[in-house]
Amino acid sequence: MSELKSAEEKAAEERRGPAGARRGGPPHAQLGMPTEKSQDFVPSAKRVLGLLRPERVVVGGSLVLALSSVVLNAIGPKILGRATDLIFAGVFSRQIPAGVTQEGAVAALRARGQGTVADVLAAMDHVVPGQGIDFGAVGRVLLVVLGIYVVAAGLQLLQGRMLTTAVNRTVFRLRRDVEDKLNRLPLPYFDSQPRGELLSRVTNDIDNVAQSLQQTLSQLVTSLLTVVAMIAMMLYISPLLAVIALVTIPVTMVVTGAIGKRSQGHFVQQWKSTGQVNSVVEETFTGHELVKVFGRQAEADREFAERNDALHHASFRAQFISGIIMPTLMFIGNLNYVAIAVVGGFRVASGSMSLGDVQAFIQYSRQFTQPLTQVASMANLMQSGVASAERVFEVLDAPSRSPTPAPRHASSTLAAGSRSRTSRSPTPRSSRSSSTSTSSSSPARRWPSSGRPGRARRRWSTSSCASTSSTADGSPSTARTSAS
Amino acid sequence: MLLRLVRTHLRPYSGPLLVLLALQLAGTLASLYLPSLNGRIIDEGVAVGDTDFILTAGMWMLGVSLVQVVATITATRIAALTAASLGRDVRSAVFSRVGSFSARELSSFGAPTLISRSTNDVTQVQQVVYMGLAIMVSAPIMMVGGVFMALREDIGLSWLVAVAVPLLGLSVGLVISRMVPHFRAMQKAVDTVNRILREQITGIRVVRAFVREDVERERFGEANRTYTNTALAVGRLMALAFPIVMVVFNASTVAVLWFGAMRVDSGAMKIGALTAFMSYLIQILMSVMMATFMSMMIPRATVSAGRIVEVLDTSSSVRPAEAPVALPAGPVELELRAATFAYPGADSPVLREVSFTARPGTTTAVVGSTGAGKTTLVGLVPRLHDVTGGAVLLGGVDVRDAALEDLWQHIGLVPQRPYLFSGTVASNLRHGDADATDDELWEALRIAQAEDFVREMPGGLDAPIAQGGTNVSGGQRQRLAIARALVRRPAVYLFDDAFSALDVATDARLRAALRPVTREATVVLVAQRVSSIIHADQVVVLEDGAVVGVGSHEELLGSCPTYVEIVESQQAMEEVA
Repeated sequence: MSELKSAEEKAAEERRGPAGARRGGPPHAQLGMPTEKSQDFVPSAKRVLGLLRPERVVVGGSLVLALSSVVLNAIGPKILGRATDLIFAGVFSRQIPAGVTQEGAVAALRARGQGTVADVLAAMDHVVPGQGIDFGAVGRVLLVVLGIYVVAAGLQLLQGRMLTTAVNRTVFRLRRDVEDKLNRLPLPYFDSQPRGELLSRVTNDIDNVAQSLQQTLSQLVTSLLTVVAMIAMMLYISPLLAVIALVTIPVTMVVTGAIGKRSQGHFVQQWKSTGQVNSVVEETFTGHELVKVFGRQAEADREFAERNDALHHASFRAQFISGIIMPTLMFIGNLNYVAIAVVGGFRVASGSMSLGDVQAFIQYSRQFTQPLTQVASMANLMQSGVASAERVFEVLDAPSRSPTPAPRHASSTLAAGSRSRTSRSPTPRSSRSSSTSTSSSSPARRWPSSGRPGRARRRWSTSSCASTSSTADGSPSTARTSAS
Repeated sequence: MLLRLVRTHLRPYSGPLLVLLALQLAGTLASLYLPSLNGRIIDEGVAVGDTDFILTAGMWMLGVSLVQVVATITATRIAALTAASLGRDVRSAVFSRVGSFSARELSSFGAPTLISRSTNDVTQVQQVVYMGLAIMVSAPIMMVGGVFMALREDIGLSWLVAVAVPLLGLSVGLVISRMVPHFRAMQKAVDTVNRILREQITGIRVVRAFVREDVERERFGEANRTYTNTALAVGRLMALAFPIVMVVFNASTVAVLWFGAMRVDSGAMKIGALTAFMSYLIQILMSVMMATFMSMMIPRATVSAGRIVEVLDTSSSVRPAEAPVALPAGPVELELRAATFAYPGADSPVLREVSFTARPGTTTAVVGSTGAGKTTLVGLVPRLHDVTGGAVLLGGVDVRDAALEDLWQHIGLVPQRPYLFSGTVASNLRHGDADATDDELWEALRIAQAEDFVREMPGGLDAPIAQGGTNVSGGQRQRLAIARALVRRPAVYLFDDAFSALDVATDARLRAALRPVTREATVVLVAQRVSSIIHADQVVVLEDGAVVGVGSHEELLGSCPTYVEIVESQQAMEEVA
């Protein structure tokens, strides 16, 4: 990397004239780079969830709705199974000549050596020899199923609407808080990092948090509940096979955890790189005419190419590694399926389990892998969201400017960075506000007549009165206006 | 737009893309084959208690799913790499295209939108390309394959496919088509929110100086509310889409059972085929749903692609000379010959037939009220924009015939808004001349009256400068920008209102120090203060883009009423100050 850089630097120098020996290092390298923080996923994720706290009633309500719709959806296949049974029974009934009883038919099958079929027939209800499928009964069952599904869909719709409301309100608040924070950050904070970087945090990262919250919450909740419902159904049918199926869970956890851990790093890197590309673009486009006239284009191009490559790499890694999870889990699901089929097959052969039960079980276990996969992929999305949220939290957690900045002389602006908070003192609130009001009133009266030289003084005196207004309005109650 | 952009930029990756297609085909075929293998394990293995068959078919199934997983993961890798590469290429294309823009194109787009076009919009496109390659490609394969398999199970029920697929497509499509306008609104709302935040961050000092926090907070709150309401509308439609899909899915299953039961009763269909048909129908519907949901991303990405293509299709109005003529070394004369400049589509030109000559060793002051075209005039010399009529000559050479690098090497520009780049004092000054020694930098700082405060800065020449130079005062920024131009030792100095933030005493000291350095140079300065103008060898008075007077201070006082007006208003201002 450094070799490449120096080669390109040389090229840039040659383009400008005789290559001199000395030259300032790349300025961006030392300045304003955010330090790589150790990422604490769990506390940060908790904090993200904590943002939802004001919406807990809505979120709670949508949870209840989700639970009901999942239960209905889980019951559906079971009742649908009864329709299948009726069709089965009808097919068999037709084959039995009228007048022969069900028991007689079973005995006849056994006599012909068709034991398995005889078992199936013996276990059947609704067998009316000589009659075909009882369409009246099938129709009734199907109508009930349809009704259940429609109700479940209705509940799901309601749940989705409630959740989206909660999430959007939460993001609204987060965005408002960040904007509010910007007004309370000390000026050196803005100078200490490239603008594009900070901008990326308050725009790109918040958008990503919003998207992740929206998608994870709505799908995570239903998927998790579905997994629970499926586990209950499986345990009900066969505890032994359920144990085999449940082995999938820790395996899934381990795989997702292993992949997720790696992708988390890549996501952090991806958002960081986005911020860095943003800052080069910002600076180059804003200072466009100077970039041109002072022949800085080559340098800007080099810097951009470098960061663009870094972003390319990071976004490829992040996307690929998060893309691995789905197929891997599908594979685990297939492994699980084979295991259940083999063990189930043995148990049917030994007569300790009915074919219908194995079939139902397999259906449930497949329905169980799908939401599990979804939970896993949501976990991944969540990581990207939390990585962004951490960057937003860093802004929110930056120390606010001191309430009473000492009035400064215009020419000392530069030193602001080194001595910004020296003036912080535990002044009681009353004396503080009185001091700022006196300092702000006298120059304010001079405003209309003051010419250019007065500008700098104006800036500093008013910034102290600005701080009082922001501390007064900083409380969420005044600035809060409800969404819709 | 989207298609054109994507097609052009995917071309270099056609090799990997073919491999991706093959892999997706293999993966999809494997997942189409798996259900029938499942069925056979149940029918021929579990149902008859044939454990040997279960084991062999199970192994076979594992093999197939291994193929599936390897194919899918490799395809995902190619998709991710290709999408990321496309993103990088497009970003780079936009960046270098903007780099070639003249000030005219840049200002007609505006820097903020160009920034979001080269970052956010590219990300949108990149995302949709990834989704397309990783997931959408397999949807048509899956659909065709599923239809084929379903028809193989039972032709009689095929009309159910013909009903269910359009039903699903239509209902989801209806929801999505209602979402599209909201998406456009959302993109706009995002832009507004981001623009306001950007303005607040870049203008934080102004916001605080004028105690505009409350106003800004209200303005932002408004945008935030609009954004949230749009997002809510989209979210609610989205919440509608999933239940609809579920109802169509489940209703299809119920319908298959009902109509299938009739066919089974009449003996036209086997019960096993019924189950298989059902699972294939679900698979088909799945792929339809996937395709429809993916297509939801397309409108948003299309808007983004349009914004990107617009930039890429704009070419700079300043074209580099094809056969550049070298500018003479040493002192050069600057001549404007009936120079006219108009923005495309504008009724009246910004500059109208401006003519004057600035000779080496002389100072030409350009004065005029706000909007008279002073800054535009200055920008003509380094070709930040080109004349639309007449010519600008440097040393007798039309600037349009000179190589841009050569031209810029001759010019030291101090713009009206003295922008500094993030880095250090030294790195900023060396933009003037990369090879300047520290002594030369100090010399330039001394002339620019910036030596004292730079010495006081922690690190001196190596003191950090924030982006835009926001960590130094306006006056200091101007002096550093002047020093940057001095470091270059150019033949032509262009000072665009460059002394405005300096107090009168510093202004006077600076001009005195400049005199020996610029003895051989051609100096053009846009000025407000009478004190700056009085000493100029020549004053050009602009009014509404036209020259209304050229001459010395004294001459103009007698002959040019516009000039007298300007001088009087300036003097009044200075007295008040």
